[in-house]
Amino acid sequence: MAEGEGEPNGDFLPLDPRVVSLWRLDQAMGCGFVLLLLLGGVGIVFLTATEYLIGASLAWLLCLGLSVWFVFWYPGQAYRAWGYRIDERVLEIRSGLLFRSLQLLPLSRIQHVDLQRGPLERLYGLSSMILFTAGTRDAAITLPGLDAEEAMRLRDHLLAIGGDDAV
Amino acid sequence: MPSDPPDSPDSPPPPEDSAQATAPEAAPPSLVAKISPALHGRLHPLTLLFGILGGWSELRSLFFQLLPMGVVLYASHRQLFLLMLVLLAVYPLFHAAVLYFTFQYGIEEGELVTRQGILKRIERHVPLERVQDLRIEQNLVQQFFGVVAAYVETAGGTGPEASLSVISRTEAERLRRAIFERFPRAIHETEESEEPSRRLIRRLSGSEIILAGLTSNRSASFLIFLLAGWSLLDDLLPEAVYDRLIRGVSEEVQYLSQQGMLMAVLLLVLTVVAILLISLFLSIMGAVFLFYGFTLSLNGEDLHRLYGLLTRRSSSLPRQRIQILEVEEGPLRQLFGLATLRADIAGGAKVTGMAETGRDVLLPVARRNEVEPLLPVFFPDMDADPPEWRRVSKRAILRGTMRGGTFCILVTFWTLWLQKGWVGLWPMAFVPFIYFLNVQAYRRLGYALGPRFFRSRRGLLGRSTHVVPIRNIQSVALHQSVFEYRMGLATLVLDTAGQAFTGGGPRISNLPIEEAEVLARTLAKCASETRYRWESRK
Repeated sequence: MAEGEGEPNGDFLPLDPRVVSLWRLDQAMGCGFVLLLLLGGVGIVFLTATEYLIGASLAWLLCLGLSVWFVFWYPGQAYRAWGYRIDERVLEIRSGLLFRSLQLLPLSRIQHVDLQRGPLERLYGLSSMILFTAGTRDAAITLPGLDAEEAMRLRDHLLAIGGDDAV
Repeated sequence: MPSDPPDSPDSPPPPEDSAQATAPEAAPPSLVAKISPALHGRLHPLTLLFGILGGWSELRSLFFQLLPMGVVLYASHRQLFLLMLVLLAVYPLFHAAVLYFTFQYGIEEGELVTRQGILKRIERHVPLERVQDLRIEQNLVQQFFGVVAAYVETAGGTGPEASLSVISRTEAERLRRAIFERFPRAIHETEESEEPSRRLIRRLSGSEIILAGLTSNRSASFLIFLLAGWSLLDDLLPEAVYDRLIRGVSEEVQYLSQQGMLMAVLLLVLTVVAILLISLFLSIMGAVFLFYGFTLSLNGEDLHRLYGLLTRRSSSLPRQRIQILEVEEGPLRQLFGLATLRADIAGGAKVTGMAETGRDVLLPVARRNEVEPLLPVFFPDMDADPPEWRRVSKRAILRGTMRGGTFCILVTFWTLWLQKGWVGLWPMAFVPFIYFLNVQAYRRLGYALGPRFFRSRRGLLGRSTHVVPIRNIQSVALHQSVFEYRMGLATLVLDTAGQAFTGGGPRISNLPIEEAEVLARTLAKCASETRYRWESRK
């Protein structure tokens, strides 16, 4: 997989590539559940109102198509959109496909850092980092899909640089 | 006594209970050692009176809810009913008595400490440097007795950290001094003078307060009030009377409209004018009651506000705690060249009913051109020259008009489907108006970057300007939707601690992406080079 390479902002670090599989699995589980529910709906149409069966089936197939897009295409694209970079003063995180965003966090504003690992993340050896500031709307900034070891190293590094603000 | 637990021969619960019951007499066991309290006190004896009054007014709503049940009870078990009535009446007395006899407060080792309660004892320590605001309120009855209610606010949570209701006026003043005039700064000040310098910044005259009422947008709330009144009428009046009223009014209207179209229009206009006049009158009265005699003064480092006709309110706000300042010009106020000043402190949470107490404004009304000279009062390290304003991309107008236009076209399809022919095209008539609005929005949108302060402004018919010390910026974000990405535009959002009153802080849309990235990086870098504190002392 050549994702994360040849980006316009080449100096942004990519997330751990394993996160694509994690997102795929996550999406597959979510979409699979919804598709099963909808299939049940189609089944009810089959039993009660056969004249709508073709429409219902077509709608279900459309959802299936969307799910395939969400499971196979979207995670790779989202992965390419994510990126972060740190200099000695600011952490920059870019993300988003339909809604792009670039978040800049002055390191001295970090109040505390959380590392979060759900069961799936543990399965893949990944970790999400949540950075907290004293702000309001953007008080919690998330950086997902980091290698667990790397995340711990990064956290210690960030706290070592940033933790001098006496609040 | 039925079966005591066998494994507790010395039965600990009873002694503990009796110890708690006698606790108010003895000093409650403190969790910290007391070292010469600078200030120590208890509530004013009138706490009993105001506690009962307050408790009864709270019970009033409960009383009306229970009224039907009470009537039934009265008919069947009169004695039980009377007992319940007595209990209900006595409960606030009991509550107030517990508060009065157990509540203690004091300043110990740089902390405000309050203790209260008999069974569940609460001891609360608030470090003085965390106190954001000391509010003092005094309603008409309290004015008569010379007592006040004081509330200590901190950055965390909702609602006051400590409520002292009620204490004497002199005691409140003593508390204010003890909280705000203390170590490093106190030492610094004693070098110059014993009394902290008190400087009047702005006093609002009667005519200015009337103007504030005139230009506040309260017509909408008045209409709601009117509707509520109408529905209440529906509930209160017997159905026959209500029906007759409705019939009478509608017959009158019918009669008048039979006199001709002109009469009906005249009636409508008269009604609208009457509603407007009444709402204006109410707005003015509201402003006068709330802000009568408003003074803003600088007391050492604290911004001191004092206002109110019937209920006098005062609030001490250390100016170093201001995170962000907003100069708000509503459409009406802009017409008169007026503005409102709002400030946010760290963690200030929005509480309903805040506007009714005037807590959300630093200065309710001021002329636009006197705001700029006032800024150094709030930010002593204000940049000497106001920086140059920069506008956003002109593509903003195109983007906004396209967005509004698309909506109009969609509505037109719908109306064409409903009404065949040229009449169905009427939504398109709004497109020039949308264009006009977008030009206005473009003219108002802008930012100015100085060495220590960042300003942004936005608005559609009114205008709102934010002044943010760069040291208070917590994080910077750029956002782009698919359309913005296509047009090479971005929205810049600054996050600060506390954005409850200033309308969500600075947000500048339609910046060219290259410029936005440079600006965002500059702001983040400048912010990282400063140290942030709740109270950024220079």
